[in-house]
Amino acid sequence: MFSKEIAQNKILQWAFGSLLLSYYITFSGYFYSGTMTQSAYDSFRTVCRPWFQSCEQWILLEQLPYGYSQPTLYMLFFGLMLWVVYLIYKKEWREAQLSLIPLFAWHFFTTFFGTDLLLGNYDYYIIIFAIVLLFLPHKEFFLKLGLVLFYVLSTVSKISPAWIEGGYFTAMYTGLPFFPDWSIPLFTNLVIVAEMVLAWFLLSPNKFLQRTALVFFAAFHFYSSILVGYHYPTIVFAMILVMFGPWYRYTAPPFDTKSLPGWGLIILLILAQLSPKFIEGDEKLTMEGNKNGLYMFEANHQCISQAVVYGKNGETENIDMVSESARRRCDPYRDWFRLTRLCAAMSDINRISFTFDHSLNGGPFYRIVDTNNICALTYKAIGHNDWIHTENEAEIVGYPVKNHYR
Amino acid sequence: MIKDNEASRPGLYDVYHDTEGKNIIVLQGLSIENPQTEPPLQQFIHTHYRVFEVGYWGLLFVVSLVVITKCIAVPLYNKFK
Repeated sequence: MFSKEIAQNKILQWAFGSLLLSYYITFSGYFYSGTMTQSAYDSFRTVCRPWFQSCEQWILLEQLPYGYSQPTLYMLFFGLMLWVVYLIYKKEWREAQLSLIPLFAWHFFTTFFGTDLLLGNYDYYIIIFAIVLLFLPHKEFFLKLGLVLFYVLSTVSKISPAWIEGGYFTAMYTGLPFFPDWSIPLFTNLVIVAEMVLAWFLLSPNKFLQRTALVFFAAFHFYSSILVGYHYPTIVFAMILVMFGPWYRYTAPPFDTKSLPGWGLIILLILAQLSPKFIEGDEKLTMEGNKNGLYMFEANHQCISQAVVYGKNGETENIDMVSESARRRCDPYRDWFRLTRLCAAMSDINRISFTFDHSLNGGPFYRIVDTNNICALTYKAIGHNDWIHTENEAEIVGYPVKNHYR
Repeated sequence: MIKDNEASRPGLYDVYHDTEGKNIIVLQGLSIENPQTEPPLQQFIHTHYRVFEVGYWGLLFVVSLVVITKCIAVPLYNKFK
């Protein structure tokens, strides 16, 4: 666990505290969420990750008013967090690392296997911070490189009309906070270039360049928090300040054999971010593989899903939904998951016809799904699903008006 | 704009036909008072989008190449030469 690195390094000690804060703020959200409970599954509210579609078999928790196993578990985690604070106070770093492992394991399970509904970009940040701080050598270097790489990799999803044309923000009633609509593409392109190029200077031995990059990203995080709130900057910006703030010092890349797991993790991050590009169609429209990497502000979504349930007795019932904000990712997989579970649970259902219309950044609504019976379809987690139409195949059914962010 | 009552779904979305006959779909909670308009700079970029897109992929490739060469390949070469 390479505890000595933390014991001898003030920067890593603060980074460890920042990670603990990330778990606190994340589990505060999980505490009140009912999406990973038995009652959520029974009422068709839960959705498993595409690569672990039988997650309900692992759901053992229940939330109030149906039970209290979930709040009990999170209070145990809260106690563990307090215990870790005490161990930090005692400077018992190895014990602190060991005590944090249950929090890491539960968060890792929830993110990758527990549910599709609690995931945020910041969960990927926490997992990388934790892997480096808990398990890898050369912690300071790989934390710094990981942070910079997150900026750079996020531009892969920003090379799209949402950011190049500024369509994400021009397609909203409120535009970009404080700036006129005509200037939106200037700022969105500035962010792309900064994250692609300037971010690397956070690692620079040149103090002026390093500080310039830090000031830019500090301003960026404060400004973007007007939209995203406290959660994201608490996780990311706290770590940025610890690693690149007043205690910053240049850290040379390690090339010994101990560094191989760290480099392996970096390669894995890059491959995960690029993976949606190898799936047919625009991943922002089909959502296939969209969450394999970072997907923050990747597109301003609007969608309409319409299902007609045909009973064996000849009766029909409509189940319709529209998106309520740009942030709702409009993933047809989620509707597929819920509707196929409904078919499996209700023996009196004959079939369910389903259409799904999706618009990106104020562009046309494409009918990306149009099927007579969604219950007969399967969803592949890796690769393209033929029943989801790409932008080249889908029919345009209409055009949207401006959207809301929340 | 003419509202199409037959195509609209009360409580879900409304459908309007614009002067060109296109369907304008207004989801619940949104308003037809704010039709989509692209600012001039956005229109310009939209027209030349492919240039920007290729340019950014090129920039990402070049930056990655520079970083890998300067920060990984050269130190590795110096270490093992």
